[in-house]
Amino acid sequence: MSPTVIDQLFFIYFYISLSILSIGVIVSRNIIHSAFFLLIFLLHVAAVFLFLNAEFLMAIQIIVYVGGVLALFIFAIMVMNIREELKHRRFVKFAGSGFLVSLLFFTVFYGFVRNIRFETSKPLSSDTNVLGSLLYSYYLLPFEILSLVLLIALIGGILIAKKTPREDR
Amino acid sequence: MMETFYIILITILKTALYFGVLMLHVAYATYAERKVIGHIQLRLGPMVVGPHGLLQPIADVIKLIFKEDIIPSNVDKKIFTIAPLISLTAALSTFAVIPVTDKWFIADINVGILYVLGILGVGTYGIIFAGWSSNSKYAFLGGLRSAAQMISYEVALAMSIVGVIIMAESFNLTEIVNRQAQYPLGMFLFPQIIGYFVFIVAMLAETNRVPFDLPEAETELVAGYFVEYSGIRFSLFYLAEYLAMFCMSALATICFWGGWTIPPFLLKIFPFLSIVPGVVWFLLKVYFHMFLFFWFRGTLPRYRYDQLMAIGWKVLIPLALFNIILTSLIKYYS
Repeated sequence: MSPTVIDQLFFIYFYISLSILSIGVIVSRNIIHSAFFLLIFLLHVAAVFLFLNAEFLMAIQIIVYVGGVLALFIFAIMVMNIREELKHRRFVKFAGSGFLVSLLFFTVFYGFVRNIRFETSKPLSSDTNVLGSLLYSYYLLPFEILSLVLLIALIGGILIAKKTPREDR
Repeated sequence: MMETFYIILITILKTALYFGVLMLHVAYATYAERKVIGHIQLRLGPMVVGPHGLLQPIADVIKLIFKEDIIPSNVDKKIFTIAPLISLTAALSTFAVIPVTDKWFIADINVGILYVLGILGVGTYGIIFAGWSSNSKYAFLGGLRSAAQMISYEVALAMSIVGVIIMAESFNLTEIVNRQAQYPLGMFLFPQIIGYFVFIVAMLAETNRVPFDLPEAETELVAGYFVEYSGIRFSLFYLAEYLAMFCMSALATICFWGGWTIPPFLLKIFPFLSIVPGVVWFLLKVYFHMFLFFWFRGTLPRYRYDQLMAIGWKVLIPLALFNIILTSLIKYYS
């Protein structure tokens, strides 16, 4: 058993569990159970990043998705009444068309991925420094545009939240 | 091949050692808390079990393990049983990257500080899930409060450390300590005093301690998110809270107090101090921060909920942003 065999075993584990967890997210009837599956799913994705030698992405994945996005999801879910939701029938009517669409998607996706040739360069010791210097030199314009888009979204969110009629007026 | 197994074996042994030491620390932190608060209030604290009550934590652990594990009816059983484990696992995992000295650590990763912040955020889910699954209004309100509080204060906590990261030019915890030794005072405490203040306040709120213990405010919510828990599951939450306190203390020690190093000027005045091993300094600094937690609990009243949110968003985050700008300006022009 060389280290590469161990690596591959870990990869097989992660891809099987990722598929099972992602099915769990959409299959569970209880929305909190879905959120729980999503939590474990996102942590697994972070572990996959770690195996690809992307430490920084691993940490950011945990902080942004696990610590921020999902926590806000659950916070929103908790103030809803999910007892109503449990009584509804499931959306099985569209299962056939959904299957067809996903088949089409994966066929196109396979055709796209098949022709990719990976550069086998040796892994960097630390991706954080490289990422920082690239982000502030070569990718400066896209980075600035993205921050502007985020700022606009932020201001828009505040504006929408302010529009709700206040009771004290 | 043998090398891989050797590394795995050593890591497991190290983890077991860390685990044992940590558990002992947590047990005696509860004892220290009761003693410190007792003396603040002119009481004696635990005195019955053993000399000066020294065996009290062990008696408590035995009591908690043998208590009946009650699961109320109408709870969401799966989530209810998993929730304390999420909290505990998250709190324990942070210690994987925390270095005690420059040679004693389980893992030395390049993004150590980000890892600690991220994993601490996972601990919130234990509290949220516990509050939701208990099917009790007190627990639910406690969980909601805790979720809002931890999301808000995580921002301030992360931002307060950015100044340290800018000065150290690294996310690596060992590197941060080594950089501090190059400064004349040997610690980032004085150049980063604003960051340290924000960190201490956010640290209290993140670990749900007085004066920000609103998720478990006993006068309003009985005990908050863990009302319905009993026996060993209740003690798992307790364990997670104290582990998070130790983790925060260790983080404050590493980022602001120079970790296991001694300030160089102290070493010049008292040269004999160099024979003291680094572990002792590290533990002394961690114990000081733990004492700070107990001291605040014995001194301060609880904040109101809107005051808590106002402090987080209107005071701490602007202060931390100001600190970041100031630090980067000084760094740029010097």
